Amino acid sequence: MTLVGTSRWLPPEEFLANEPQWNRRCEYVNGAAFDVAKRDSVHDRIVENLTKALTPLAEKCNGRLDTSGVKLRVEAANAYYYPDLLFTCEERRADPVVYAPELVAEVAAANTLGVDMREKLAAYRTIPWLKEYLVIQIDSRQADVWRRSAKGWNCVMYGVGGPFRLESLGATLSVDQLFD
Amino acid sequence: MGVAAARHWISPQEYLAGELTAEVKHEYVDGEVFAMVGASRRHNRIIHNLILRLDPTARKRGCNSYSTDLKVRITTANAYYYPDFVVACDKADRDEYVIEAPALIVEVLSPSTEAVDRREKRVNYGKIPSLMEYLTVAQDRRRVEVWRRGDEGLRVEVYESGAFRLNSLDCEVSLDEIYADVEGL
Repeated sequence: MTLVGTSRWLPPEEFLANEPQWNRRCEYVNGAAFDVAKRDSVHDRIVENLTKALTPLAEKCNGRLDTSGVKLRVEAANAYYYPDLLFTCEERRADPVVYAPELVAEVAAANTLGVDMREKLAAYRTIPWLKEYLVIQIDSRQADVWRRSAKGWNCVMYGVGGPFRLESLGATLSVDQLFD
Repeated sequence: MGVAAARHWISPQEYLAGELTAEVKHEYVDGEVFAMVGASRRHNRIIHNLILRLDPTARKRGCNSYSTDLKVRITTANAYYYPDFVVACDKADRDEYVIEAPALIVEVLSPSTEAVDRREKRVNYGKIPSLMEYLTVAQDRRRVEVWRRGDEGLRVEVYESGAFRLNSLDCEVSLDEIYADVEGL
């Protein structure tokens, strides 16, 4: 038997206490931790454009934007994620963890598309406060807006061209503006 | 408006009916469907090696093994996946298209599915009460992660050579067997 390594189920409290000492950011999904995927300059540029467009609106409604610096707790999935951007109106806490975002946005490249469109979509939808989940797909230059409605969640996909709305912040954006 | 398209929530019944006639396979997670992609020669070779090594053992124990085209249902996640290799032993689990009580599941990792296999699927497969082991097998190097059910949840053992034990089939499997004739490995 040549066993290279083992790891037991990692409790969420232990992840939260230890992750700051790991010198790299990790996401936590029910018992295991994973390195946050590498991001390129296109990714960073889109996050920057989105932040620029949304900051004035976030201030106007007394909420705040966070980009990649805070962990988002998803209780139902027993997960801690680092979303590319989130908007929340909850009070700032001593620990850098957000529980009640109203908007979450992910910029998805080929290496994160599966996680952003599948795992995170399923997880984020369980957050009771969340109104919208925006996925910006780099390769197909597309913005998918997932929105909670009375009948559940629905999604509208926007390509290059006309504007789209983010109701959670009363924002009107365009795909071209995000890829500028 | 630059609207590309709208997506609607799909019920499991709609999904299952659609899969019988769809031209490509899809996985299903709580209202959403995801198209599956083709695989590499190495990926397929590894699956064949698993069948050759484990199917006789499975059948001797009254179990059956299946590959790539049979769905596994995860009731508590409202999900249906197509595992690369699955062993089912429960005689009551008889649906023609869906396995609900697998004992062992294997996914061969590829660049486009690795994150899903190690994160989402590991969590959801872990919710199946009958599942004893979940293996992820790398195809770019010799590396097998064996996720076993423990008291608290799935815990992992990592092997890069030698052999490991499969409790679900009461046997030992070597990495030489899994990677036999896989080019470059």
